[in-house]
Amino acid sequence: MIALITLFVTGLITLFVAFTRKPLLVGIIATIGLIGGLFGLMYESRYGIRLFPDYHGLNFDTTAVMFSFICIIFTTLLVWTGFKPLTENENHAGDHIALMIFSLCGALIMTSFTDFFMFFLGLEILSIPVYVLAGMKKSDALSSEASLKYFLTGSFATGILLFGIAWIYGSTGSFDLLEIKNAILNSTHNSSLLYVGVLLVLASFLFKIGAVPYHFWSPDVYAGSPATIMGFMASVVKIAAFAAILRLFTDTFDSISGVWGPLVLGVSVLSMFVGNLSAIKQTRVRRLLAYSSIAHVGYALLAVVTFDSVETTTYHYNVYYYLLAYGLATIILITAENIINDESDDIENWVGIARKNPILGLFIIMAILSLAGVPPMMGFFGKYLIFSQAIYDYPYIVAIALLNSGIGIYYYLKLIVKVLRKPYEAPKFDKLIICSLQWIVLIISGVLLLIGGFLLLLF
Amino acid sequence: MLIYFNFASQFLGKDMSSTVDYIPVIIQAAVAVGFSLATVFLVPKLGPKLHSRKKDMNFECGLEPEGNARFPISIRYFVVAILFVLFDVEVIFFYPYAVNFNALQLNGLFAVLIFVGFFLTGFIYILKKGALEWDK
Amino acid sequence: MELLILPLALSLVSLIIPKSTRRFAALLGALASIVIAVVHLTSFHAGAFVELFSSNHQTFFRMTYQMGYDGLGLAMILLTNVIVFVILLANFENVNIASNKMFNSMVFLMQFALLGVFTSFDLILFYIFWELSLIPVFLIAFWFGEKDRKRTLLIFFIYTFIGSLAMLFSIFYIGTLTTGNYDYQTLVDIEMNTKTALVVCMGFFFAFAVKIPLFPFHTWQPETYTKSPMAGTMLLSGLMLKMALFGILRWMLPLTPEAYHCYKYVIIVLGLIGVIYAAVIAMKQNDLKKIFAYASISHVGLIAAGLMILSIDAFTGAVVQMVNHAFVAVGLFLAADIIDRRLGRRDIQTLGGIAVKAPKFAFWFAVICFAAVSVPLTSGFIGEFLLIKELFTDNAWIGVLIGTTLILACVYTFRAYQLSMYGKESSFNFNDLTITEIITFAIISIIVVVFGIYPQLLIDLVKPSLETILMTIKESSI
Repeated sequence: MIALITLFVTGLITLFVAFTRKPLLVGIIATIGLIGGLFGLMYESRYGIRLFPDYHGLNFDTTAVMFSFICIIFTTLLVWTGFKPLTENENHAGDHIALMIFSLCGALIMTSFTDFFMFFLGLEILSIPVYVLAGMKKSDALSSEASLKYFLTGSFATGILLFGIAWIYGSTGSFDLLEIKNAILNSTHNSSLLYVGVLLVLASFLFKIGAVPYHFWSPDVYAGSPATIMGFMASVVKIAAFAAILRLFTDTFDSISGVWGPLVLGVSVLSMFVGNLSAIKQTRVRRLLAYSSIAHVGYALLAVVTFDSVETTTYHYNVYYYLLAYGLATIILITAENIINDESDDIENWVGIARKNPILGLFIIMAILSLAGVPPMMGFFGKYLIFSQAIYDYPYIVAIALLNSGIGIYYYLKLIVKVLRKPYEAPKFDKLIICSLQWIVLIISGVLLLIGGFLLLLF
Repeated sequence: MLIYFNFASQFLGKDMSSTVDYIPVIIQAAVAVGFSLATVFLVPKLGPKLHSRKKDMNFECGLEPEGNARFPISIRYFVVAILFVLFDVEVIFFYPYAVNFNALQLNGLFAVLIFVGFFLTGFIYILKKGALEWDK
Repeated sequence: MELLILPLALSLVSLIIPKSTRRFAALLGALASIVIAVVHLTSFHAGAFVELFSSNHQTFFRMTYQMGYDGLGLAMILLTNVIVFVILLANFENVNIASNKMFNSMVFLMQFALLGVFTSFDLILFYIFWELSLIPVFLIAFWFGEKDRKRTLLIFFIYTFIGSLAMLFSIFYIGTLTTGNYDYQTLVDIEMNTKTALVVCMGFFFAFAVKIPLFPFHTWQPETYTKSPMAGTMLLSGLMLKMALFGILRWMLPLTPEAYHCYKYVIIVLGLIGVIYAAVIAMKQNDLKKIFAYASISHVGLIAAGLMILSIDAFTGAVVQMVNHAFVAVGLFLAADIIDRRLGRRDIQTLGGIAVKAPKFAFWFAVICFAAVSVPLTSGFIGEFLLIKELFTDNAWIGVLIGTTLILACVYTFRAYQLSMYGKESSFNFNDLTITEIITFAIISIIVVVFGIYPQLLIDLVKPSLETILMTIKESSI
């Protein structure tokens, strides 16, 4: 709660500080606020303080704190890496950063809600700023297209979600998650109203995380919106949505997993195949990342299905770890996108990065290997955690998932080869300008990616 | 709809007693939709029709229409319109508060003060941003 | 402990060492790692198990780890460290490569990964190191390889990666039987039914068969060996391939003895086909590197087939032959590279008469060739003799057919040697061997001959652990 309030106030202050037309000041205040929020979160969970004891809409339990934690960290990293593009237009320097922070507030609510009211509020607070941010580049037609597309499809998803919530309310008579859970457990037979409601809610979730068959918006939106915002959508929005999925489906609705389980499993398999196979032919980096993100959603969904109610926390950690690895790798690639800073976003722009700047190349290769799931990168351990759990119930699905990793390695490797090879025009060796904030982001994420796996061995 | 429910409940192996409760709702919905559709489609067919140039023209408060209605409007107009809607809607929230003014005691007052405070902040923000200045 | 840390540290240190001293520092580092391995050897008692790291319990994320070595592991550690030293020495003259910081770093990273593979007593750890070894060798081949290598390397990486994924599936599958405990002893102890064992061994088999490579999975190998730089080829043939053979010995056989009867003859026959098929192709090749690449397929086919015979002689033969092949392959590729570096071509039809211009080279090349065709007094003889003897005992027909490798090896090796060294005299200049090259050849030859005369050195080291492995397999397979 402290974190939420801190972040909200930070967002407001950021908005007003921007009137001074000093982007650096805006950045510093935003950073201080974000880090303050981080400390607030830790402080609250460490000492078990509740700011408003009577208020039960939000509950920052362990899972919520974990997911909020990486949401805040990722937002901080993204604000840093995208500081230049975000504050390019002095008139809107504060707006963009503030919108990101407001969206982060929504993400925090998404991780910690205890009833459907707060959940819906959180989802909207999370989404609406992102709709605006996607259209950040006003003069760019693609950016406006992304914004409009995301907004229209997103509103549909919201409508479906509300519809689903209404059905669930109709069958259980409550918005409160605990009461719904008890109502489901206690009734001898659940009405089909409930099932329809659950499936409608599920559909809107799958839309938010961009799983097949609700993925059509994501390549266009990812490719159209600015790189930083794409990173935000791929990391923070997804993490928040997965946190909500875990809370809703594996906690509240776990007793009717027979209804949604097979569907999620099917969606997971479809996402892997569609994501990986479509990514092979992409010629734009962000589109490629969008499709690879669809595939990664597929892997992560596998963890959502294979929960056993005894060890609930374990697979919370599985999803958490996986998304952490995925987010870090994405942030590195987004930073590279920001550094290369090319409008056309062609994959050929990545040719020869490793020659122009070896250390940046190293980080990029590490990130790609992590996405591909090659040890010793963190991505491998994420896959390991998910698959080794899933194989108890679904050996065939795990075989399919591994096959998909094999498909995935093809386009990841092609990207690596592009990064490593000589630039086409040797004399035109334009230097890549990397500012110190971006270095910090690269180093933090890179080191985490490298040692993240070994931490698993130690703790 | 009913067929779907039948099918769904068979499929899920569940009793459909709770869905039966919804039959009156469905019937009412059907009547309502049917009536409105019927009105829309039947009225033009039933009544007699007389055409003339003046009659077919847009009705403009009894005045002669002048010029074309489709001319470009300043984008600022939309900004102001949206802001108007935003701040207009917020007044709605005062109504429930006004009704429960006594019951909510001091806590309610603080909540509303915070709420109004946010809106004030927003108002100051748009003023500073210059969204309400017409010629800039 | 220091056994593993040193290469990792070296791989980081070689990034910051100034260019002029880099290659000397690398050699020194490799020498130091040999010294450490030898120190470990001196305090090692045959049949013992030395633990390096252990987790003792499952961590929060259900991970375990255990590292250590027995006789077999120690032999492979020594082999790795010596071969890495030899590879660095062989590249010493090639200043472009030897002074490159990335090259040195990657070689040491490779050494680290290989040592990890050989010392892992935890299946997940084994997999991590197994995959880790792929990255440095890919990068070495990519940075320093020949023209149009990209496609070849892409195929190589994807092929081996998919093979590894199959193994990963098996690892997960076997994990369900032990509830996520991947400790070696636990895994060996579990009882599976034949069907489960078959599923598990299929994954292992695919991964190992791609890396060895066995006959139908070998298609990536000749091209990759040809397009890689010499160091990459040496790492691939000298060490990476041993990883797979070691994997069969350490993991596949003890873990899935229940399915042993199902895959025994599959692997023997595939090995047999590989032996003859690759040898026949090698006879028709003109590119020196390609000849040796196919020779490699032929040689390892025999080792893989021999590993399927459950007897101590076959196992020791396989290990001896693994060591021998590592040195011989490095020697052969070094010879090919010396010709390539001096003349810029490797086509044996355009060579000839080198022996007259470079007698020292002709001598050392001949020694390596003799080792390659396993004449007595070289370690190849010991290895191949034991393997063929055991295969013959098991099935006379297979023994006879696989014995042709001795003849076929002579044909393609000496055809290559004769056409490149003797034959018509050409008008090119050929500088004779430099001192480091002679040292390299001498080290290889001495080791090969020492093990040829007194193989007991090696056999005493590995025999107890091989017997343990054999026991565990025999207990469950019958």
